[in-house]
Amino acid sequence: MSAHPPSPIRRVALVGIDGSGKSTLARLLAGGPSGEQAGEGRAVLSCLRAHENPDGPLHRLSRHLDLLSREADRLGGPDLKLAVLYLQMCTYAVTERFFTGELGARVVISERHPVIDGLAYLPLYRRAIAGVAGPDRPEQVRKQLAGLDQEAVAAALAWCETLGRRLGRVPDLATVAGELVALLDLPPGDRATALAARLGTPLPDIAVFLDIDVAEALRRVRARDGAPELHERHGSLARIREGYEAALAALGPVRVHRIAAGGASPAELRAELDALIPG
Amino acid sequence: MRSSPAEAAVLTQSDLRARFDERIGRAVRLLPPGGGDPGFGAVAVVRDAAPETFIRSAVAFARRAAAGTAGPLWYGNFTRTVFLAGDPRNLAVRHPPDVVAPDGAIAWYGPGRLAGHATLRRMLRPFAGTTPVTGAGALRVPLGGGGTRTAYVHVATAGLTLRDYLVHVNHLLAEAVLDGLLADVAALVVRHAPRLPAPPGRHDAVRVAPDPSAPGLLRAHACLTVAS
Repeated sequence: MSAHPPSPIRRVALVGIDGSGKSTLARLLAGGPSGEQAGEGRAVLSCLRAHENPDGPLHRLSRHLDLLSREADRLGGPDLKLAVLYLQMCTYAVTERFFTGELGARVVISERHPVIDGLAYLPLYRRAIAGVAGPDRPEQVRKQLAGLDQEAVAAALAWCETLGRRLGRVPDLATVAGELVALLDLPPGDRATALAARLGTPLPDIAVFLDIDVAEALRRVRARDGAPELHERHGSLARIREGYEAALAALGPVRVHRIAAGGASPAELRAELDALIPG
Repeated sequence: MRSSPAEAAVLTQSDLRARFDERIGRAVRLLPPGGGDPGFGAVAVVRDAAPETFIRSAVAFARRAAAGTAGPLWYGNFTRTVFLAGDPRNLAVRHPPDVVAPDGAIAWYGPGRLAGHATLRRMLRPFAGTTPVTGAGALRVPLGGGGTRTAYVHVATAGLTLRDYLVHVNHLLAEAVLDGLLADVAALVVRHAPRLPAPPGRHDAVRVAPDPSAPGLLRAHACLTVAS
């Protein structure tokens, strides 16, 4: 009698430090130049840049947020950077809902994951934000915003209003970073749930951690981007790697699968993932 | 199939992207505090998908949803509807539908938690409908409800399968109802043609979705205009 039992949605997150091969692997899984197309019902999504999901929603908003993120880098404002990162991460819930609800994806593979990456990066941001904190800091951030592309800022503020409906309170770009780093004061086992609630996105079923030595990752990043600040980047990557370890240890029911990404070719990594991922 | 140069001149990707994002924005804003239930949607069991029957019952179903509390959450989930192949006559007792098409060929359930229809979804196969939509021509579909106005629906049938026809037309009509566009509309005049007419800016609603044959591009599948 049973024909096609409705299949549940399976969520797989590819995580790891810069240079670990997430993007390459995601492209392969999505059907890159030499790869096969992604299977029917499988979506491979960018977590932070909705405009990089060709069939997905929120492209314009995502481009505005991408611009603001680069501007925050230029201004050296870690709290503004984290605020924008938060808005970017909040787009993922909509993207995922669209791909599963409208396009029928049953397996969602995300390059990064808002909750895991949020938890991994928050310690780094807490240190950086502590360096600029002060009673007049929110006003300084507002002044920074006033000097940025106003169309992009308006899009970000409109997105805050939209998020406010779900959260019950409209996020304030000048102060939301402080609220996010305060999540680190929660017991480790509670942080993922609290951040998932703020982001409106569920935890993945499987987190695939592309584990790589920091020196090798840095070599790859330098070959790709020509990153000049060797020591700074090495320190940052090492801390982010520690952040991932802590985040993955606190994910509760999420199955964590580690892949040694340093010596494996992209094709080998894909084969390992294909065996792991349902559908 | 990529948009032809003539069509692209009428409906640019930028136009389509703007329409697409507007719709997503409306849907997201309608989600209740907390974000709602992502497993929320409707189910339609289809024996025969004659366009007139389908369109009339799709509007009736959406009007019923709009009158209740489920409408915003359904919209927030992009009016997700699961189409199953089956005979509503065989389901009426054990699975009484919420809305039935006038000829009994389509039964509608919900909108609500899709988990509540797990038995139906286990019993019945997804509606395949791989045949192309051809020859539907023009139809006048009375909607009832006491309105006085007429709305015009155009469906682009080039390359469209029957299943995709149901999906796109249902999204267009359901969201038009939930947006209040059909509140005073007594009848739809539905025209099926390979391409949509120009200009897109005059339409009150346009169904825009990813083009399955051209990754990264959007395509307008149907549009609706309410006569002034």
